[in-house]
Amino acid sequence: MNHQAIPTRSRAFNVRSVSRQFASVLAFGLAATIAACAQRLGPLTPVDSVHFQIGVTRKTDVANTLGLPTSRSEDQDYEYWNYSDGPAVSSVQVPVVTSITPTVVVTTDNVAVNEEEETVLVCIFRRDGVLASVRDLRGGR
Amino acid sequence: MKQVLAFLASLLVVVGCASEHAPPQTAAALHREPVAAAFCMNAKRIHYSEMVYKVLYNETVTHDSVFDGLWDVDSELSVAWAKVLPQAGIHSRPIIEVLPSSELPSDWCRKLEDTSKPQTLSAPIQKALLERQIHYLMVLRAYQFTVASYSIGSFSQLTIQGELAFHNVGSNRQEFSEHVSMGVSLGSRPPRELEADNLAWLKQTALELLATQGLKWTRSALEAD
Repeated sequence: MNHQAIPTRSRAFNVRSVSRQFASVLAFGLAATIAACAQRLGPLTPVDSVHFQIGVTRKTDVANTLGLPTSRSEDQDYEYWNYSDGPAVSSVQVPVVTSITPTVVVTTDNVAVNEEEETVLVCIFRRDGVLASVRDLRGGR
Repeated sequence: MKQVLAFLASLLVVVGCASEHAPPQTAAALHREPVAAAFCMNAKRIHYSEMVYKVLYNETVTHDSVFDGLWDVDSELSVAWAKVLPQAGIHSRPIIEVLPSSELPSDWCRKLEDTSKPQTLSAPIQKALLERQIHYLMVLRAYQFTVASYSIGSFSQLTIQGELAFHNVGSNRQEFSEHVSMGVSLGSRPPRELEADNLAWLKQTALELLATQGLKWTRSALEAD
């Protein structure tokens, strides 16, 4: 009886142990994936969810909602605020194994991407700081 | 991770404080003569960069936010800079109080940076300063605000890189200049909050950096060898 019971308990223990290891790996993987999503330079408010009123909304309202523009220009009558829908990728750092003996050596290879921020929204203000019009450039993509 | 990054950031600031010294006669003249103080920022923007952890690789993303036309950073920080300088024994007035805007073109400071020719003030500005008994000009130039963030540890740091220069108005010659770097941790607060509430956090942080690290750089530059 005892001889049969011990292997059973042992197998049960092993199954629990393997489950625990699997859970740990899964938890680590999930944590790593969640951490990978934590990018913090996006727009203050998603461009899709903003509602501005032509002739009413002022520069400060737009700045407090979307943040500062990515670039700005002006002519005699109007001021143009250009907004992108997120940051641009400038470079990627890839781990490269440069040696495996006597010890594993991993260095980082920097790959330049030099993406530029793409303007998706232009807010056009009159000289008195009131919104004159909004150009949504996403339709043309 | 956060502590390690904070330590590295503070180490960078400390290393950056190993400054040069102005010639003794320049330092003595600055303590004696009336001085105009000017803060100039080349690009009126916040340049953000963030290293984002992507499990198998890291990605660096960048974003620019411009505040040109929304905040007159040069005027506001010139006034603040002039208020800080007495603590270094310099009695100064902000250049915008010394010269009316009609005598100070908006690009005057940018032209002073042109290294392709001797760094001289334009004749009208030199004349106007001398007429008002200003014999030295102290320029603290910043290239832009830079914010570096790391997605791991949610840590950000604001830095101002630039140049501190002492200009002899009479001889119209730059007698001293050195690279300066000022930096402060923004902790784990989302960095784009710098832009909220009419740039309130950015303005406060910039004023604190001038009053602490800007003053340290100046004192150090005026020390004898």
